Amino acid sequence: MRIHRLLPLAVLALGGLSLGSGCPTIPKIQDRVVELAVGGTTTLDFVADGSTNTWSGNATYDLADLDINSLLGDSGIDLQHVKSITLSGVSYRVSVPDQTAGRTITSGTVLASRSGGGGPVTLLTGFHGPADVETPFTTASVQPDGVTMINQLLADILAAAKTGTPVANSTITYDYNGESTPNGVPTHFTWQLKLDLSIVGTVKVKVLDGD
Amino acid sequence: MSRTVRIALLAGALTLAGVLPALAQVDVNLGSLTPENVKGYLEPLPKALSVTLNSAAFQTANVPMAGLNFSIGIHVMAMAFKDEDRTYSPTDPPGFTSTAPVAAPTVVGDEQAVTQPGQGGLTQVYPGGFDLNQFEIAVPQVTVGSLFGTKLMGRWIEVNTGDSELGKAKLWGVGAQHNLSHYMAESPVDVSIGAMYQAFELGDDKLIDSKTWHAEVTASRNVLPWLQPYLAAGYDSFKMEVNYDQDLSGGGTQNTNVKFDDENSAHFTAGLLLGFPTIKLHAQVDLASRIGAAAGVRFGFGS
Repeated sequence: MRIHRLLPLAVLALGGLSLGSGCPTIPKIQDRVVELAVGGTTTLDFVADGSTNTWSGNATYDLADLDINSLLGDSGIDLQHVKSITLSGVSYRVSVPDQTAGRTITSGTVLASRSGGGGPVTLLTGFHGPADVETPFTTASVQPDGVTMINQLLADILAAAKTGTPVANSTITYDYNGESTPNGVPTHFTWQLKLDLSIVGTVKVKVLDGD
Repeated sequence: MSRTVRIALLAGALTLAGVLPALAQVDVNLGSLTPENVKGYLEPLPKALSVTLNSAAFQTANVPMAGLNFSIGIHVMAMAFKDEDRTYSPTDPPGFTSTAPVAAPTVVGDEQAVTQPGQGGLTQVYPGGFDLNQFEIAVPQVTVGSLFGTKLMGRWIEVNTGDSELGKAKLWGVGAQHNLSHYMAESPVDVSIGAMYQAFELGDDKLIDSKTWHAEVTASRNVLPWLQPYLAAGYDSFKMEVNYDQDLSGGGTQNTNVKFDDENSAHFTAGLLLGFPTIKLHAQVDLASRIGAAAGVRFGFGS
């Protein structure tokens, strides 16, 4: 057979081979409900004091101040379509250093108590690092009980935001302490705790797709 | 502007616009991902864009040695995704240590987000995809010839909705095709060699910025006066970068550039051209980085 007579057969064979292995079809506009993920953070400030070789303190914050609409920004997610807000990471930093050169902290622990009788539970352990300089955020070693407490509060805040009602027991008191060197010199520095949040919500979009 | 040109441009614009409505949500989803995971989430796109953009540039090997030839038309190119395109394995972002692996959806994967458990009870959420089986794109193409057995072609389309939710898209390309048959004695088929370069941008501030070139040898022959099958063997090379606003730990965003691995692939084509005096229709299948198909119509005179 001459080569040019093979051309139509080859075209048909290659076409048939492709059609049998998943070829695109005529597309049409279709609806999709997509779960988007948006990140958010909230940062809390704490002052640590100590007179010997320890540091400690406590502070209370109301997480109901969290502005979910602001975190959603221009993502296109409506508050009513937010499915969950959960804690995805916790980190800490020294924001106002101790004036004593060489100040170092170790064995830091943070306990969390929710108003209304929740806790105290351990949120973080193993704080350490220099406190005589401003530091970048460091990943904290979180504990499951503390994470569960904050996730429950975030779920309550979301539910209340959707219905426009106040959040019950929305404050958390953080008690913190640890060891500090050099000894015998008063400790005083300010540190920050950053909570990274994952917000999941749905949006309806139209896409061009085949069956 | 002639009616034919306006119709071709409008058809191209409408089809390009079809990929845009979900673009704003793609941008949102990228923001929560690290550059490594942006690569995973958008992994199917280089293959999709490579096989579609590099299809349907040439529908015949018959390039006259001289004489005025002109055509303008619209080509619609599509490709089908494979199951393996629907998920990727995410890498842990800073500050998160996973305790179990997950298969996260890519941009064409399931619509549901996937939650990965981590140390200390933390969870990391990976966004859902748009549940796409295929990807398609349409572009107008102009072909002008012939001189010394060579014709030139160009593609251009730009859509800017002026709406931040929809964004914009821009594609341009240039190519050339040269007749090889006249170098051969008594060739039973027409044979030509061609190449095309294209640049495609999608979204604001070059959210997706891609460049590609394609070269092929095409063979065709009229089996009836108006029916011409054609075959081609070629090569695709595709580069893609993504520029997105990455959410920063501590608030705010940072514009981040992510370079994807080059997508290089052999490209085989089989098609049929129905050629009438002023209108030509074609349909083809493509085997490249993925399976594709294309169809088109063009108006003009000459081959």
